[in-house]
Amino acid sequence: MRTDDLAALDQWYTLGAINDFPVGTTRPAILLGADLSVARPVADRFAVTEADGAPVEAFIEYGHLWVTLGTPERPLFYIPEWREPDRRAVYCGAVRVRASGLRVIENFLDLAHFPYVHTEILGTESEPEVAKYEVERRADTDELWATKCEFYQPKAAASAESGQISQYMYRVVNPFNVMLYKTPPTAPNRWDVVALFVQPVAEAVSIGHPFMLVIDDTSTDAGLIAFQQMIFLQDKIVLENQRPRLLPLQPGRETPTRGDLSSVLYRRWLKEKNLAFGVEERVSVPNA
Amino acid sequence: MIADAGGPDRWVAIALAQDVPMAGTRAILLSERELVAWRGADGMVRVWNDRCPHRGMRLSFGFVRENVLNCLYHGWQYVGSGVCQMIPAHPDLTVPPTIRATVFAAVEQDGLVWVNLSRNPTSAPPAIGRVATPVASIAIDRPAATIAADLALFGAWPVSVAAAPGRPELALAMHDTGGRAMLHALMLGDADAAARARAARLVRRLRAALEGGDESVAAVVG
Repeated sequence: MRTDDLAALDQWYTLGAINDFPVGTTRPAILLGADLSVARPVADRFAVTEADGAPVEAFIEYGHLWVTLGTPERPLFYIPEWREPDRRAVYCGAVRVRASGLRVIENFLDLAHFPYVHTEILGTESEPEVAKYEVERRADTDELWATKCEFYQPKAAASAESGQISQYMYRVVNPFNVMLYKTPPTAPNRWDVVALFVQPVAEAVSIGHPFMLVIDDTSTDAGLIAFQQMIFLQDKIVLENQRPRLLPLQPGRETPTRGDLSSVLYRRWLKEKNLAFGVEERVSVPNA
Repeated sequence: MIADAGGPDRWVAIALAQDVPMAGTRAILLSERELVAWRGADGMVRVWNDRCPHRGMRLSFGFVRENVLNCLYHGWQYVGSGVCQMIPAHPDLTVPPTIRATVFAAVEQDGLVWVNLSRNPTSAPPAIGRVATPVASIAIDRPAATIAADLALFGAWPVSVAAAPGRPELALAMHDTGGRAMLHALMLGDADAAARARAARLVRRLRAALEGGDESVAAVVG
């Protein structure tokens, strides 16, 4: 059933990388409970319709198909790195997760899990401390940013040959789309961009579309994709086993710490938007 | 999400003791409640809500070191009382004692793990009263109430069944898994390998009978 949550409907969402929709085919897709049909009659044209035939606003950007079922306040977010000629665009493949898209985004923002979920890759148990970082909500774009994040990583990326202290920035552009900027192992003065575009299918089912814009002359596409998929599949184990499945926004329902500043800001932001899709309904129980 | 005001003052057998591994966890579904049973190096079994209060990750996915259960997500460390003793992301933080897992009274008795969800359990688990050897826990695709009705003539849980000569005598306990049930079977009396094998076959025949197969329950265990 198509949701009636306006806060969710009035956003831009991706249905996937454009090559997920072969030329000359029509494929089904589900977004916010609505059954959609995606036709790609020729390479650069998409026609997206709802089940009753109503047309859905759609366009191509960043190599992905973007749609909305409502009236977003702003145009699609801007990724300046898309235009840099020496970057590689890597489409990592859609992954279905039996979890609220909001839990998926929040996990993406989290640093403290690196030593435990991505052991000896993005973190190691002997270096678990999450140092203080900064968070802000940028009023002009209504985006959340976390900056000055740092973490020791035995293997920060596919091209890493030794450990490094990675610098991170996180950017949440709307409730279901997030990206991070991190130090490329081979170009310490620039940023790699790793994005996760989440397609909320049902309140507790999402499809993640990971996408990267990286500085890397040496790894194969397969190597880059394999690294990213390994990370995502490790996170999937956690995401599908968090309870409740829907994200709690009620105070006292879960227990943030100092290192959870991003998620605290994210939840507050979602609450102000009155978002309901993917959010746990109020309960009378604190945190059990 | 189940409202956590605890539960009734009643002991329920939720596993064979041998199925909760040393230094390991076992996820158990009791009606609609997700529980975790785990043992530390001290061998004591604990039964908690299967949920870390940080971000709701199921504790049954965690790992046990010494007598500490560590959550898989962020490594939060829980001691036997349920209190969180350490948060790795903030190693110098004294963890507020309010950060704790939800614990329930648990007893290991007669080769079974018993839990009482009441905040103030007043009784003790019912005893089998004889030496019992664990046979198996098996899932029965029937509601717990139906199974209880089918086995009601044998008495209250844990029931003793199969008193016919030459047949293994079983003690049975059960817990509801929300529409279905887990049956926990032990055998009474001599428990050599051959006897245990006979008991295992009897338990499988009992499952078939309870699920509405050709053989009746009475024919299997009468």
